Amino acid sequence: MDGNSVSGAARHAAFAPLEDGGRAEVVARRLGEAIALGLLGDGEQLPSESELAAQLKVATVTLREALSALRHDGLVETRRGRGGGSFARSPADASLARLRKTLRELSVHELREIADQHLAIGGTGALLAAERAGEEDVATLHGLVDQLESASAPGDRRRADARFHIEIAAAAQSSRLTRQEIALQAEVGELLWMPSSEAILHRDAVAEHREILSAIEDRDGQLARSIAERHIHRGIERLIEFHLRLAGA
Amino acid sequence: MRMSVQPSADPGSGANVTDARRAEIGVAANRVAAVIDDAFNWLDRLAERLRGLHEEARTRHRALRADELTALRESIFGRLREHPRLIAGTGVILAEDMLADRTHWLEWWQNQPDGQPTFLEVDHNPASVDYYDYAAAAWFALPRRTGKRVVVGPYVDYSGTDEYMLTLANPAYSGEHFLGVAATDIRADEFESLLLGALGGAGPPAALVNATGRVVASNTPQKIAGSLVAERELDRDWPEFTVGAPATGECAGLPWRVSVLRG
Repeated sequence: MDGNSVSGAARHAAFAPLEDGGRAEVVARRLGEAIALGLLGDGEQLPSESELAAQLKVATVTLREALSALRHDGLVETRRGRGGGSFARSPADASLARLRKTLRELSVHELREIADQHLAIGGTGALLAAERAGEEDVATLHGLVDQLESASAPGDRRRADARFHIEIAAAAQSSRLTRQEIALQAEVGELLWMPSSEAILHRDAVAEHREILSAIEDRDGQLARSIAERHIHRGIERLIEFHLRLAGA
Repeated sequence: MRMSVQPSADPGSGANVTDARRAEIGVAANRVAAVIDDAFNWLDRLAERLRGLHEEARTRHRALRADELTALRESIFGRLREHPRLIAGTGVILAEDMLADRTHWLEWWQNQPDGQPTFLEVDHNPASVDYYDYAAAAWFALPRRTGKRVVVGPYVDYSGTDEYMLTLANPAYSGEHFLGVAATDIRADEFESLLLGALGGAGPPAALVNATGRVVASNTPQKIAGSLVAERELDRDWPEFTVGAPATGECAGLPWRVSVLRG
């Protein structure tokens, strides 16, 4: 996508009123994703603070806090004086343009197909891992949750996340589930951890991995399955949302 | 090393326990022990060859180069040919200070269905996503740390063969200097026919269980390969045969057991 040819509709969507309470973090996430997805082009000027706060239906102080977080992440630049204001800054990540293109070109149906398969593989993997995981498997999984927690670069997060899901299939003692999980991670892993627009927030992903692992340790297969399914579903649902925003722009 | 096979102290006295059945379980355990024994004997020879190459280079005041490991190939190919089904692969995996030209290397060959051994190509670049980080693998780290041989698995070997696998490894030393490990992958599936050959499918439900309680093979659908067995699931009316009691072998991951399960 050419960052400078963003339609009014996409811009409008990025600035649409927030329903969920107007926390600075939520505001920052909405704007940050729009910038990372290219819905707000590189260098594009954001409306004035008061205007934007009004559009998003949040307090000006909340918006300022959000902009400050985005500046810290390098996604917004603020210039003072005449011609000043806040401007979108595309993350300087070479993979981003390619990932946006992939996400835009996938159809909702294809993403749903991936979700269906991933639910089958990941859900069953978690169920069987709860029955079959040995102590060493559980120890490996703990290590991988810690690794995800301490990872900060998108690539490191993606790797730790993928390894966790692959190790669950391996802990289920199933070569076939493991092979399919590897293929699925190769397919969607990068999309789930796009720079500045991760599908599931990093700390939520860590918390959900801990929940899955705890159910596996408790040998509660049904619980492990349902948490894993919810986790997988959430990720793909967000990718569908991103796709629709990109494709509709 | 000769792998020991020992019946449990209590020989079992249940109503259904016949001498013939007891003997069958003993035979199964002995066959398993023979396979493990044979594998470790091979790994002793392979480790010895590696030590020989290393020390020969040392007499010329230099370290071994990766391409000189080709000297191991003839014996590796022979070993693979001898056991086309049982053995998925074998070779040596090297410590980081062992070779002159590599800090990360393995000379590893896999058996293929067409009988032609294939060299295992792995990613040696630590910065890469697909880096083959063998230093962290139990079959490398454990022999290095403890100086003992090890039996790892069964486990899903997704970074190597994509199969359900056992890995046996021997540390190789030159004096005190750790050179790496000599190792072999054994297909877990092959223990099934070994067990069935001795027990048949009609006898009491029995399982070959590893040191962590995981079933390697069984003659019953009630507990299948890969599942875990709890102590309470074992039928104590039957004797249990341990393979490789800890007292006799310096080997992590043993003993295994052939046990009869509650019906």
